[in-house]
Amino acid sequence: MFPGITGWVFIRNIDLSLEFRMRVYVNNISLQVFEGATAIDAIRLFYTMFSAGVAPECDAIYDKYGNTVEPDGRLSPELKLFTNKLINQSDPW
Amino acid sequence: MVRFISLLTALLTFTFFSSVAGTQPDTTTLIIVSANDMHAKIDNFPKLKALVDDIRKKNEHVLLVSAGDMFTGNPIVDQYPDKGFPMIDLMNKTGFDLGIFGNHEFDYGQETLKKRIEQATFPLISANFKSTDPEGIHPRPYKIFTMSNGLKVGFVSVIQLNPAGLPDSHPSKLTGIEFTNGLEKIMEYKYLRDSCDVFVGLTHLGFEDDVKLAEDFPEFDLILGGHSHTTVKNPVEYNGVLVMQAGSGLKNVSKITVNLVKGNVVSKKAETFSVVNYPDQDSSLVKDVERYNDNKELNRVIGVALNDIDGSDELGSLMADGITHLDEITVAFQNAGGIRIDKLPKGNITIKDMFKLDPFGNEIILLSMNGREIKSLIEESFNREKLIDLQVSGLTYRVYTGADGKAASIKLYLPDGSEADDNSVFAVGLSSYIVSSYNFSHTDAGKTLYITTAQALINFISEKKEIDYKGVQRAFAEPAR
Repeated sequence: MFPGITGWVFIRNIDLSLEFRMRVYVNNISLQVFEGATAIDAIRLFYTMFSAGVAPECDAIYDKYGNTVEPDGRLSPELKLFTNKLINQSDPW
Repeated sequence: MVRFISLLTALLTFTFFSSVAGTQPDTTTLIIVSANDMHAKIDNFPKLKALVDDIRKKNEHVLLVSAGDMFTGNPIVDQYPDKGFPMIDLMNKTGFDLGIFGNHEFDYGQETLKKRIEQATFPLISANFKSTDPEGIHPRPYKIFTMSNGLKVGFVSVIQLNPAGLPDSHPSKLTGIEFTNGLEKIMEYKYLRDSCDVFVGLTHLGFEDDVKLAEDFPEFDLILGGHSHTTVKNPVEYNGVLVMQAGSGLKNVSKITVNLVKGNVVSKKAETFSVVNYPDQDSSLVKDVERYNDNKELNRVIGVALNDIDGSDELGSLMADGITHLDEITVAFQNAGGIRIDKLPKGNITIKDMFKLDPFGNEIILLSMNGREIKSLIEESFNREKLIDLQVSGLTYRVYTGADGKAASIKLYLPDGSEADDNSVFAVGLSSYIVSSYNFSHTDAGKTLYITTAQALINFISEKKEIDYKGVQRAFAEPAR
């Protein structure tokens, strides 16, 4: 999906030494979201961090089972989400 | 020959009736329709009722259940004088047989929830919480239905808890309730398998936890869940347990068909059934929904603007003040893109005005931030358009721009006019949009307070009664000298 990137990445302005109370994954990239975040919060954060612009509201969100997830669905720790558009981009950052 | 034909006819007739008499009582089809995370979206209830009525006409054994989060998400219902009542009324009229508690069931407060429980003609169950107050909320952990043919269908329910050990609702709404881990607590109810022909986990855990539950609880035939707003596209059994969820907002429902022979489940089929696209609707509920949508409560005056509140400085300052009105927060920011009207005219302010000003439903996120981190947020916001973007409450700030028009330095000022230290720490309230969409330094990831910015503003103006933001300006930009 993202060649060479399967686990931790260093992201500008985020202290990765912190305990990850609400760590989730978007397109296999680990993100720390605020407690009580929803799916769209994680997707927006993903786009923000990789300078991929503003997350399109209509972008479909999937879980690891291939089910669709509504943007306002609450996240649980370690949840894995995927978005189609970025999956299809070869170099999102 | 005639005698032979007569014998053959009798034999066939006997065989036919024997067959009918022998299989009919032992073969049962059960339909369960499950709606989850309806979030006060009432517009599709007429279609849901028509859909369920049609299923009930064609099938003898039908149960309609809710997998939690009936409430919160529609001002028509959330701002109704009896908060949440339209949902209960419509669920009663649609014929819900059972509901469970989702995290948003607590959002209106426990006293309101108790009233809604009393008004519901269906029970609400949960196995992993109880009030410490004898007069509080004490749901039964499970419910077993005995259908007209004696078929027993059992449901047991648990609710999701966050890392703090509470459901995702404002902690002030949860005082006096003891919650226990749902995935552990539900194991105590495996024994119910022996009392049920069909055994269902009706949960509000999120799809991933439902799959985990299926791995540990193969005694279930089905898990019908909610919370993660997952729409299952291809229903799959995990460890022999069919796990389903149908999105949110009553756009879809899960329809489960269970076939039993002599009380044993022989097949399970799950479908995500579109409510939105259902062609019929119940005319009586259409009128009820129209009546609720004409909610006069939204026209209720909550305060008075003594002067026009005009432009992003004045409106943004007002909105940020709504956030700092919360006890937990001392500093708040409001982004320009979140201000959706140009002016709040002098005179009465209604609830509807607040939803025009702030229609997004963003929640307030509390972060512990020092002065340096706050400056990083302001810098990021300013440099987007080389303009003031964030309005503020609890502080003022001044951006000094360089030759490129970008922020070269920033100074923060406390309410007494003194300059704030970079190392001073503030309890900052930001909308969930800002936290996720602005690239700024913050070591605290933050936590939601489960209250929307619009609701905080309504509470603020309702308490202040009279507001005046004429000439208010708290954020400034000027070229560096």
